[in-house]
Amino acid sequence: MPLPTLAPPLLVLASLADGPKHGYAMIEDIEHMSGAVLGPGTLYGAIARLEQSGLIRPLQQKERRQPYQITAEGLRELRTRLDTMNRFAQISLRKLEAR
Amino acid sequence: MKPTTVARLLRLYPYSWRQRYGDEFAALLEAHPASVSAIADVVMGAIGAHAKALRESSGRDGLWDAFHHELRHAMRGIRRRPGFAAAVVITLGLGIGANSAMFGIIDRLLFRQPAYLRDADRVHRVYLARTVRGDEFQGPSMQYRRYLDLTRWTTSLDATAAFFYPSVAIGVGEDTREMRIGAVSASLFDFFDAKPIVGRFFTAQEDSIPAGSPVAVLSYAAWQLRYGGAPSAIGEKLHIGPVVYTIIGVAPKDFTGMTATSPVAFIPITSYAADLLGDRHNSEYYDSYSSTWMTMVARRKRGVTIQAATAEMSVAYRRSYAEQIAMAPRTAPIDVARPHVVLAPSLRERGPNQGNDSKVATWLVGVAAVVLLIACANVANLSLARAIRRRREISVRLALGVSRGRLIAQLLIESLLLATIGGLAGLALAQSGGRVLQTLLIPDAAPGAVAGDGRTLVFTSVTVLLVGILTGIVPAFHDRRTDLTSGLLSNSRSGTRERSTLRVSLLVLQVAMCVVLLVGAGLFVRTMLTVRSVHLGYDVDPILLVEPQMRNETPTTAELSSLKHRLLERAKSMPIVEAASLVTTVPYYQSSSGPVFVPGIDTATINQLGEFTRQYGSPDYFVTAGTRILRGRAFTAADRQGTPSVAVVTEAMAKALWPASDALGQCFKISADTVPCTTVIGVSENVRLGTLNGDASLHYYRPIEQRSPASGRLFIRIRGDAGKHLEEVRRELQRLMPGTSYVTVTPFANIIGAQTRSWRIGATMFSLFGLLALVLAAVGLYSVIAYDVAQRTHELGVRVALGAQATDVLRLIVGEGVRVGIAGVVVGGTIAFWAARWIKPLLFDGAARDPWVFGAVVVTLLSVSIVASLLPAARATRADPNTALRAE
Repeated sequence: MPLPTLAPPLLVLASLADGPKHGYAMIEDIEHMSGAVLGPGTLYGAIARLEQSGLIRPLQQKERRQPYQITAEGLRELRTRLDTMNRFAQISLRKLEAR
Repeated sequence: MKPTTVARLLRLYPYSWRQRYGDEFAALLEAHPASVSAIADVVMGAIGAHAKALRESSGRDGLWDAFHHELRHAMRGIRRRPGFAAAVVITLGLGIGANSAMFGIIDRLLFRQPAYLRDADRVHRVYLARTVRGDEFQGPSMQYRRYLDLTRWTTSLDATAAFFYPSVAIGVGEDTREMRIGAVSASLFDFFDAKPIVGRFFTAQEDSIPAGSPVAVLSYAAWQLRYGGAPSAIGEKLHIGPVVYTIIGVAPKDFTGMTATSPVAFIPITSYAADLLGDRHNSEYYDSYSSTWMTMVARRKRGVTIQAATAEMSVAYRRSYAEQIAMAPRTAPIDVARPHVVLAPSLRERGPNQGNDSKVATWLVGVAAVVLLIACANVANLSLARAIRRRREISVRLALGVSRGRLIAQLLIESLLLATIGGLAGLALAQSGGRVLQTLLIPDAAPGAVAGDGRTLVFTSVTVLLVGILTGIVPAFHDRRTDLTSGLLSNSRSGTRERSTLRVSLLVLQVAMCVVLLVGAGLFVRTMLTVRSVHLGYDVDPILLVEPQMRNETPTTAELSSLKHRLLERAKSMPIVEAASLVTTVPYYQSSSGPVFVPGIDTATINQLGEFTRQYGSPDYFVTAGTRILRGRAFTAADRQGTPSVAVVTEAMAKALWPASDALGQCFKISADTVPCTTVIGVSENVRLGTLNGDASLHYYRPIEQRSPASGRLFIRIRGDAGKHLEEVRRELQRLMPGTSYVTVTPFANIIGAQTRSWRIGATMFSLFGLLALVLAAVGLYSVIAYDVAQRTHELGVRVALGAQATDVLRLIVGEGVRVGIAGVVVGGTIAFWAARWIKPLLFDGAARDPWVFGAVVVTLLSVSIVASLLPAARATRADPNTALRAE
């Protein structure tokens, strides 16, 4: 059984960590980073949720493309989550090595 | 993705969401490759956005969160078991699709009011009823004068209107085509909340006696097709029949007036009557009762009951009838005719004289519902099997403190989700299949979308909801009985006993319904075969009917006769034409009859024999029609004006008039006993002209050259498929037509086809649905038995270990399948036998309890149940007892 992939909002935050991107660029970046292909409906579901929680914000629109930028709060949230995951990964790896 | 797809997908999202993200999301979608997974993802995103919007507006976060959680759980479940989900979605898709498509049809026939109609409950089609020879006849056709009388002598009506939708030549030259127009009174527009898109509708002044103005309102479709939707179409000229009309407006989209048929244009009915209705009605159509042609619609005033309006209109009708008697004293007296008015619903198929097609369509709705029931039983069975398998999981959840209510909700959400996906698949199916159904059942109606139609979508949604609950409720309530301890202790062997009654009952129900449908299919197919085997006495498929229409031209008889001969010769010169003949009548379309007199037989005896019908033809008539001459000869070119009058009679007519002697050489007189003898020169095979059942017609043929070739039309016998060469023939013959006159070409099969349509539809649709039901039942039977076999691996292993042979195991498993089959056949057969009396009137020969059909269905169902259980049974015989016993 395949393990559940990472939550789409986390993937979006991670993708915006190195600078603003619009929707299509995020899809490509996320696939490049994690191998997960986000569908357009899922992506915008995550964008809407993150924007509402103040973790990302829209920038000036370029033609019809809308770039988004991660906010300071978004960066904090991302860091907290990644730290937790990192700790989890470290402990799990140690357990594996101890076998 | 295409912008149109993107626009459609965007519409799925809530308005507030689209306001914020619509534009950028559209840009993203347009750049995104179109794929099924991408579209499914957008649909799921839309559901999520709606759920979020609802949650925010209702403030019931907890409940929504729970729902959302269960929805996600259900989706994970579907992803985990794609095989199960696919089986359910396909089964429900077929069932729901069949119902959505049938709903689209029946809705148009029986429920949906004409577009834009106001106060539909007060609008009625007016039927006139009269008694003729003791029988009452009701019909919607009336004279324009009658319409004026009924309008002027009633006060209970708000408005009345007259309409008629004839086919008329439109255009000029080679592009002339017969198309339908709406000849309507100006008052008809007041029945609708419709505004012209461009220009205006015509006024009462433009629609007034003696002759209305030559102005036309284009239909929306014709405006788009002919003028590309340009407003400059206003003021353009349109040739309709012999008259040049000026376009003054365009009707809104989908406006058709009172019928489902979309006409090219609407013109004042008084203009149609004065200019197009044909010479014999031209004079004083508004002042005499000689011609019955148009239909009337009336709207009651508010507060006036149907009974009161009917009573008042009946009084007006009797007064009008009295006027008619004063003008034509030979009309039947009022106390014999007992004229009265019937106010019928505005939809024609709901009024008196309902067509056979809509009766068959009503039956098909029931049939489609049965297919859906079978699909539901199938899915309930599959879900039940799954629920039994999941007892352990469910017990674990119960032990962890999940409430039973939540468990039931979970199962319902899962089944609703599957039903929704099935519904979407069904809509896609109905979209394509619905077109086919529509051309089959309501060929005249403007094509309507299924997926884009609000009413069909609402119907489909309600069906999805019901199906979701129905298929979810069985396993959900089965689970209510799950006892914690036994559930936790359960292993793969358990569940076998409980499944028995409920699951077997569901299976028997499926097989029974399948039997009913297949019996229906068998009966219609048998009827169709009987109809086909009826020998008409002439060929149908290779023949084209050509009718010259002399628009604007007034040729002399000699000119007309010469034109007809030139058309005949030109037709004969075409390589694709095998033979051609002038004819005066067309079977099942138009006939001609008159009294005959035979020296030595008194007139009363002859009259008792029935109606004598006649056909006039060219020397090649019998070759063209494919009618065989049994004795004597056919007429030849030598039988012309000035030579002795000759005739070929059918065998039935020969036997009726001269039972004891040979008809050849006998004399009979046509129309009057004072005219010279017509000599019988040949006897042809019998023919059927008006009805498919009943006796052969008393019919005779005479050379058209001895009468008036000018009055003929053409029968052309084509080598190969007549329908394929229609346009070729039309173009070739059109070249000979003078001025703006033109020819119409109709395959003879279309005329005869109308007679057998309802049986053909019944045979096709019942067979289609019956086959669908059979497949569903077979799959159901197979899956249940296969599941059982899997559950009983242990038991079977023990049996084999104890010395049971492969044949014993085979017999055990197949026996179960056959028992279910027999039970289903008995129940279904009883229902079909009992329902026979209702389907009987729809069949050609009325044999609704045909033992052959019942027998064939029984054999089919039993064979299917044997085959469906043989596959898993064969697998069971291969079970290795060691493996089976070790499986625990």
